[in-house]
Amino acid sequence: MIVEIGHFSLILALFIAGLQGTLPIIGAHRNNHSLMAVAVPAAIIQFILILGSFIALTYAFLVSDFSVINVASNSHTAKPILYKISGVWGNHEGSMLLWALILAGYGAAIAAFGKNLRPSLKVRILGVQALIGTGILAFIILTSNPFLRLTPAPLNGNGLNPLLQDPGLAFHPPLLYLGYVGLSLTFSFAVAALIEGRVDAAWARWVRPWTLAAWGFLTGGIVLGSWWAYYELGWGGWWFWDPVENASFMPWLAATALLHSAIVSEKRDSLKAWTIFLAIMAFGLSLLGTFLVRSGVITSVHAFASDPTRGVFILLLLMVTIGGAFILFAWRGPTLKSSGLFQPVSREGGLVINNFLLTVAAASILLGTLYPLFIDVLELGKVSVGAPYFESVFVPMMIPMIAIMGIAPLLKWKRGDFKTALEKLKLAIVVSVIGGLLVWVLIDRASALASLGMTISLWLFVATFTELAVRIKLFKGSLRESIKHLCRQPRASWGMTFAHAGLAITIAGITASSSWKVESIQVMKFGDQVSVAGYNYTLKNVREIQGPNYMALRGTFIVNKGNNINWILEPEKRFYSNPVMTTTEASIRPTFFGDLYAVIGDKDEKSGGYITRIYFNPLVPWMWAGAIIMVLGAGISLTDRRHRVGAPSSNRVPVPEISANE
Amino acid sequence: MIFWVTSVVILVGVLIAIIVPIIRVRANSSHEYNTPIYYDQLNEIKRDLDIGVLSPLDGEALKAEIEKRLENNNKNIITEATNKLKEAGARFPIVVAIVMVGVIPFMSYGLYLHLGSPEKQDLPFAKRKIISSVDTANVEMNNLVKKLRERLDQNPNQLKGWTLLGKSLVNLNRFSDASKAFKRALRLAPNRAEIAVSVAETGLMAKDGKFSQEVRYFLKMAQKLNQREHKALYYLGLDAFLRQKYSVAIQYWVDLISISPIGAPWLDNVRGRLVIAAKAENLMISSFTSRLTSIPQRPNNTLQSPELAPTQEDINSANEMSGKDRKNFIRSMVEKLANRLESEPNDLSGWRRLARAYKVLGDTKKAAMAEGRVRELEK
Repeated sequence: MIVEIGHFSLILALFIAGLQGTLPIIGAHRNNHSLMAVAVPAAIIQFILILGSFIALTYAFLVSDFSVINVASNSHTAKPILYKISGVWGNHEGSMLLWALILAGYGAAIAAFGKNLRPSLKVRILGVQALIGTGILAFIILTSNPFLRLTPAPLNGNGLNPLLQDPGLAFHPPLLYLGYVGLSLTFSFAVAALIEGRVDAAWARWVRPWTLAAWGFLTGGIVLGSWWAYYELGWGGWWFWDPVENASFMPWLAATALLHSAIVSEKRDSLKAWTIFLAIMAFGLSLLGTFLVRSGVITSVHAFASDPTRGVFILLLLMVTIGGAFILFAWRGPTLKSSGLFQPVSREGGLVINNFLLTVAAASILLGTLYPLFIDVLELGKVSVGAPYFESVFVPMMIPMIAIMGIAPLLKWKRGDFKTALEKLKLAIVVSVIGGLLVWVLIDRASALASLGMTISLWLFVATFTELAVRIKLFKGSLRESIKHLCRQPRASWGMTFAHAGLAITIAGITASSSWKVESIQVMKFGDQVSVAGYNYTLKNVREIQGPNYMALRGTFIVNKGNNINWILEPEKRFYSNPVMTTTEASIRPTFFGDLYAVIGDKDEKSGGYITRIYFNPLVPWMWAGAIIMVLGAGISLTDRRHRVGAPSSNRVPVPEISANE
Repeated sequence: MIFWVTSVVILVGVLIAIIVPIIRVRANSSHEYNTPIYYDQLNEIKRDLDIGVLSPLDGEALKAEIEKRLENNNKNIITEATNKLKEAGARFPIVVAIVMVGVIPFMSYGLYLHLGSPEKQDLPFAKRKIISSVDTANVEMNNLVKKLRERLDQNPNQLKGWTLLGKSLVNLNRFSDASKAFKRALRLAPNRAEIAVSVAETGLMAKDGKFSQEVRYFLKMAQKLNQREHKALYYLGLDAFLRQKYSVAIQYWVDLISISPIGAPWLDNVRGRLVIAAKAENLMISSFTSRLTSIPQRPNNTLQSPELAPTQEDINSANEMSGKDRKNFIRSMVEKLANRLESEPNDLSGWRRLARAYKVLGDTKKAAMAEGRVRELEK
């Protein structure tokens, strides 16, 4: 009964979404308040219905109801409970349901908390959000229905892909989707503004926090996915320019640009058309990402779903949504008035250049991702575009971007002074240049690119804190005065400082781990010793252990360096039977300067030893730490009351009486 | 029924929540929503000035700009108010809206009936009767075993009765009882090697595969009774192997291989272990490989567990029972085998036995199906 109610709720949600996507928009157009009034309850009901249906599916997974096809093909009774739950979104149908749930959730949030949004705008936003929802729900119900039943029910399920049975990956999709789908909201804001033909203060004020939240989730999701690849795939890499990774990276770049342009829209009442363009693009890229992953057009580690009808459906949805939005943009965009003018050398100017760089970077990744697909579709052979392309295109664009990132915050709004800003950054220039030279001279295997990477990392880090120092007037007055200023900094500024510093740390991690990785692959017998990056690894033993739903070979390494260090690393190689698959679980010991990383492989029948791979991955922990700091920055910025959603507090300035009847 | 009631309740709730706001007409002005935001921005500038983030000059400029926006906004409020007066008459017929809402139940139930299965109940794994067929078979088996046991108590000199009891108890996983039954059989026929092996084998299973003195005694006894007893040779070899007496194990297993029929299912397993044992003893495998390789091997065959399914002998012995009992007995045996094969569909010898059993029972249709599967696997 529960499963069927879930199915019914989902279908009902589809029609409610259809209603929400039509009546309120017509109502807003005709200024009919009765019709507009449908939007808010419909948005909330739609969310409750989808939530109910998601709970029903989760229930089916929890109790292993194999009469549901989706459960039978993706779950197994022997699976630990965490993976029974994560199995709900570990498959195509369930993950699309999660997508729809989050979409409706954002809509319901606007409906419930958007009390200070102008009704006609709010209603249009909810209408656009519901139109996207209608498309997604129709897609789920007609092509990827998770509630279809099976008679007779099989004795047990097929189980979840063991690669996905991992805590990192259990939470990767929800976070990523919160990010992806969060961008739907800025998209709805953009389209609603285009329909209205105006962008006003409330609009900009609302777009910023939602973009920020989506950006934070997206960053978290990407990092979690990357971290998973790092320890689960077992070769010490963390980014492969895999099309599916690109699919999440492109919206991230667009969202980063959007985030900054939304600030300009809010603070300076300018760049509105640009903000709207980015909002459409960011969500367009997330839909494209969904298409790439869900249609199975790409065969990669991630692409475990394939069915042409699905692909065509999403492609149509993508074309209608994004094509429609861009046509609307072409039509209405020019009418958007911006009042805040600015000169090229100004904070806005810096943001614009960087936005442009981010957009071009996203476009070039898009090209590299789609090019092999087009070649394949046009039957011109098979081409693979890999890391060399992406690195040679992406990295050069990031260098001027980071250079500007250091300066722009020190420029004033509207018109800035480049010279004064550079003078303030003397320290950053000196530190980064010397740092880069030291890397070049002192570290062997230091390529020009590696020392350049370290230079820009240092530049960004020092420049970010220089900006903070300038803001709190450090060394300009007394120390106490500065501390007072420091405490009074708005949280949004703290957010920026954190995010920029986090990026600097991440860049250092990326540079070091890709330039100075140490790798050693060998056959080891018990007692054999290998030295990697100054650490001595001794293989003590390898034994069989029994996991909840797998068997594993677990190797024990003892790691020594000098007399103080005596660590144990225990990598595993797991054998799953449902479905049959082998996974590697690297054992990682993070240190300040890098990760010790060990993998146990197959037994070498000839010598009786085991194949082992041992890596030293320098500064990899910095990468994760930097990313966490960036997300933290987004979180801090979100708590700034100027960003917070809801009615602005009125206790500080007497606001003239509002005659709203709500 | 619960489904229909629940779905109707949900539907009605949803429709009420949608229709009520349509009927209750409200009116708002929109630009007023911007006003507090502008005041808030002015406030922020004041704060930035206070903490010195903004210079007074920039602050003034910003203030002027926001005040300009505020003024524009106020103009909009006035124009909008006049527009509203004009548009007040232009109302989208609410009837159309209500009709649209009214269509929802039909569309929802229509699509649901097309895709859903309203009659289907939830089927949580824990509440399923998957084991049911096996369970009921077991209940029947238990009854049969009980009856057989009673009959044997009255008339304990039936050799076939005791072996049948032993095999039935094996099927019920009651190994130590089975071992006792086989011992009784052995008492009646002390020179039957295969019964001695059964005593040992069930004794072994009762102890989760641990070799006891008793088990060894019966294995040796079986081997003395019949030098060519495969199972005895296998288990004696395994015992030695597990105790790391590799040379002894090799002896038993080489004997076993030499007397095994071509393609015997245990050969792969024995051969694999033999190689390990030989390595451990540093023996040249070639000293006996000539014998090993001369025997053709079949891939994918592992040592079968002791015969748990009915054999011709079982069926014969069942012939001694009363008509009804016999039929039930055979049926439960065959059902059990069929169940096992469902979860292990690649067991070729199992399918062969099943086909044979169905033939004996006279079920030609099922026999043909099983034979079809045998042919499939033989490919």
